[in-house]
Amino acid sequence: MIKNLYRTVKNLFQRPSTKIGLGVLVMGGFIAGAIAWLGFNTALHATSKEEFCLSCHSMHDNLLPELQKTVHWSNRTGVRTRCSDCHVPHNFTDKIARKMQASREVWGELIGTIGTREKFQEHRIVLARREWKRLSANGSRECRVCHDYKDMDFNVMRPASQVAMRRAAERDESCISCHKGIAHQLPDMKGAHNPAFDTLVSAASGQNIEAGGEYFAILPRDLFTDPQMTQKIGLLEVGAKVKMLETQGNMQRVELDLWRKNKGYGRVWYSQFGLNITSAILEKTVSRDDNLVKVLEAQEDLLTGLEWQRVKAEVWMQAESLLASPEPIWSIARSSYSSSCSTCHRQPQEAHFDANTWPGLFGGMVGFTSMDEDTAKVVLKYLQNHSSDFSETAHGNDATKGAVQTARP
Amino acid sequence: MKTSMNTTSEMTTGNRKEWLSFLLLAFIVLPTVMVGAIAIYGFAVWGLQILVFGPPS
Repeated sequence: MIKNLYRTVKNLFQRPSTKIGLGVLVMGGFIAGAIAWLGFNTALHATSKEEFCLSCHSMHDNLLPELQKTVHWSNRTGVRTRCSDCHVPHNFTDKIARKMQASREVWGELIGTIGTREKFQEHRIVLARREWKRLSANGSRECRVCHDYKDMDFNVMRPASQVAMRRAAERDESCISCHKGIAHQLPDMKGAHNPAFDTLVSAASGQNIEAGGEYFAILPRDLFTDPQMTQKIGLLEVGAKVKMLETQGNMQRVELDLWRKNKGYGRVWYSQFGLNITSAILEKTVSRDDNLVKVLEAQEDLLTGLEWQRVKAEVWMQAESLLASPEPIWSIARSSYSSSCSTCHRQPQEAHFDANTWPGLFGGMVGFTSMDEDTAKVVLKYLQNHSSDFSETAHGNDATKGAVQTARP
Repeated sequence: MKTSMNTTSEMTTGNRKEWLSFLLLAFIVLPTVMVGAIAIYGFAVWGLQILVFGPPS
């Protein structure tokens, strides 16, 4: 069979045609080639068109309505982007590779991976991460066809934008580092999962636990009154310190020794006197229950005039969620802090602010990052626990280095 | 193909066969091969991006 094919091809190339003139053959071949190339280009162009993208339900129902709400769809200058402007590379090799990648998307449409809005929302983080990775790698090349640093007039920008944009231009920063979610909604980071936590989980499962020892929670964990988990009474926050009392199968009894403000339900428990570093949040039903909560001492915070109580409680929690040292937790937080925050500005030193200043500051900024909920929590805890309240040299080693924004327009 | 071209019927069959293979080659087989080759090239680049190079810079 292969031999036959080989012979046919060999004959085709070696045996001159006996009936058709050379000119006809050459001309026919030339015309056929021209038609083929034209057809190929037309097809390439047609598959880059908006109509083609939107012919899939998942695109039409999810991404189009989102884009239509943004400035990239309708604006005062009447210039608008189409799917391919941002999502299809413009040079030949990368474009062809991207077109072949689309086979995966066609398959997804066929089997309905993101067939409904719910499925799409759930899967969105995966898709977004893929696109962010691509745009980070090529320095947002597609954005810069229209928005390039060298063509920007920084002087007509708002002063606040000038600072950020000049710095970004200096570093030739990729647009996507700061401008995520500019044309479509941001993924719901709650469902996201930071893979760095996996190493913590495996470290915690190998952790040798001894009664009487002090341990730190690697992830937020539910708290219960009994090992059967019948009544949930609260949540232990990541990085919170507990004292181990006993282990029963998959459950562990631990002692919380924390502080709370003697106000309202007193649900929120903090790790230190006077510092808003949340360690545990109790249910309203139990937070004033004397059977569970023992008040050890009271102290007034002179700054706020509030009375703080040192409180103790014995609770049950799931095993394999504790580590003897908080350092592995902080190292994940540290790397997330330095990579997420430095994309838009120089991140302040941890010790530049105190533990009570960080939550407000961090809460205002975290929306600009792609941190998922667990990561955001652990980063805030890290910042608070390494704030000026815990640092030997106030305001860090070099106060000038810690300024949030040093550049002036 | 035979070299003898004595009868008209043989001439027409040879003629038709040649035209058929010419048209088939020029308009169907070769364009398909071209598209196939480009597709393979695209998949190869994609595969290399996944395994070796990472996303294009």
